[in-house]
Amino acid sequence: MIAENHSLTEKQIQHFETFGFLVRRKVFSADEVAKINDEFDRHRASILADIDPEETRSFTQWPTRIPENPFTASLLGDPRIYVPSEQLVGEDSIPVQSHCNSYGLSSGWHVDTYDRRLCVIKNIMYLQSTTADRGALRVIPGSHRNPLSEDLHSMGLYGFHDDSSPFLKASGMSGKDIPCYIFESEPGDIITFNELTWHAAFGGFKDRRSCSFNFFTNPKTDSETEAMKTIVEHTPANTKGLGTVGLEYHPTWLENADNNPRRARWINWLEEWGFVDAFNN
Amino acid sequence: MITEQQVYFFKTFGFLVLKNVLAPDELNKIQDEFSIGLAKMDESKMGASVRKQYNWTNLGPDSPFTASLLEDERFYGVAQQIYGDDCMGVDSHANQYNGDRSPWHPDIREPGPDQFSGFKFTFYLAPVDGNSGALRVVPGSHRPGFSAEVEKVFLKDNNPGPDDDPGLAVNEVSAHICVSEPGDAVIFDYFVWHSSWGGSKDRRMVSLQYYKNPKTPEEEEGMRQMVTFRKNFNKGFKRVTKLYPDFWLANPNNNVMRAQWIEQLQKWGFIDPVIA
Repeated sequence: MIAENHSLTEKQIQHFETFGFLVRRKVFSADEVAKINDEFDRHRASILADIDPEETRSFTQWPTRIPENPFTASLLGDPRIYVPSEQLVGEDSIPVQSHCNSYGLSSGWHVDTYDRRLCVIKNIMYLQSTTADRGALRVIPGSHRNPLSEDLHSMGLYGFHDDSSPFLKASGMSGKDIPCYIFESEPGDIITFNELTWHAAFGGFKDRRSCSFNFFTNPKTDSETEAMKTIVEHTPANTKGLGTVGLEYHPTWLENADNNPRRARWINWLEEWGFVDAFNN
Repeated sequence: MITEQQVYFFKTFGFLVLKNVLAPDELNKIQDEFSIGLAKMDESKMGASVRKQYNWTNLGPDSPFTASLLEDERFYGVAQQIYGDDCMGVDSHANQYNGDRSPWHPDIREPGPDQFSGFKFTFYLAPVDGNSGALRVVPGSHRPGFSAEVEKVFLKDNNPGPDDDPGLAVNEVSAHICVSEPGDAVIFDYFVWHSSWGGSKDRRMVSLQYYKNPKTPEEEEGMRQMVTFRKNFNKGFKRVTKLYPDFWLANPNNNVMRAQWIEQLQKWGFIDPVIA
């Protein structure tokens, strides 16, 4: 249950810390999801017309903070997104990345980061119904922690593309045979997970859609600071590798015409740490 | 025998599902022997928890075929792959559940996994899924760190939180559901957190249990603690036969594995003190 101020209960926080993820149902209404899907339709069509008319890409991603998607762009400033995120990674945490994602394939078992020095979480809302056999996100509970995470690496489970992992190939198992929680979802549901948590999705289909919002811990320790510097350093190459279309921080978002204080704090932080340069230039 | 990858799977996740390990004619024999054992039960023997569980040994004269499974290479061979050739076959039970859930728990907390290793094969005698009593497990929760985290989770049935937010129901905990057909086996580490949800009033399960033979002073101490643990645990069941019936101890076919296990069980003190 979500309290009126959208804050998480102690039970929800405990679940996230123990299992490395948290599910919230019906966070956004059907009308809101319809608006997001309308914006998604239009911008995806525009991108495909410009760069991929034959639709050969298996993954197309663009930032949410763009004027073409005004409602989707507003979600970062919606307390249903930032309040729980701030509870989980700190009141001074920052949404470094936020994307619309159109997938064409399944995703094999993987983690989003190996770096344990800094906590990063991802909020994902799928824009179509998902089931175990049709694109639902799967997460291995507790796999954000060691020794389970290291065991999964050691056994050779990692394989980003479907059943490509060495363990699955050697065992004859499929990715679906790996024990996990399956986030079967309706549009409007949100899963939030630690980026160290192992996850996958099978039964992918053309234009499987999600919106994602990543919040980073504001570094306090030397170790966290070093980790953040490393992330900034690798950002241009990672962004190029993912083929993200458009600027992560659009000038109109950086302009902050309404003088929103939270956004102002985020922009100052992103500029100070060099993320604006790293992503946009 | 299981593959190297299956051994790794078991050690990583604390459980493993094996498909079609028992043939239909074997299942029929187990069912028949189960019914004989069940007929000897009355309500005074039923456990009082929400599981509403009858539990009795398969090592008695009423269930010779089920007893023989403990020393069937298909099963002790798997235990040997996991714990070494000198692992011990220690027990076989029949269980009938009449409740609609088994709350989350590991089978053992003390001695800890650094001192003791053991697992059980479970055979469900009817098809089970997520809403009909299939075993649910938290993968990897046999490891001490993760187990300690799970221990903190508020659970409505057996670890409730505040009245206004008492915690998760059995089926709300993030878990893997071990869907099983008759003939399949689910093996799980004693330390892995498990539960079940739903199910009929006559849910039947047979188990085979194996221990690692202690190699270090710490493991020897763990085994001594297990003797005490089992002695206390069995006080909770109103058994109608000895845990190790004379029938099984007589070993009339001079089974080599059974002879070795009886010797080990006597050495550690499991047989003498554990009398119903």
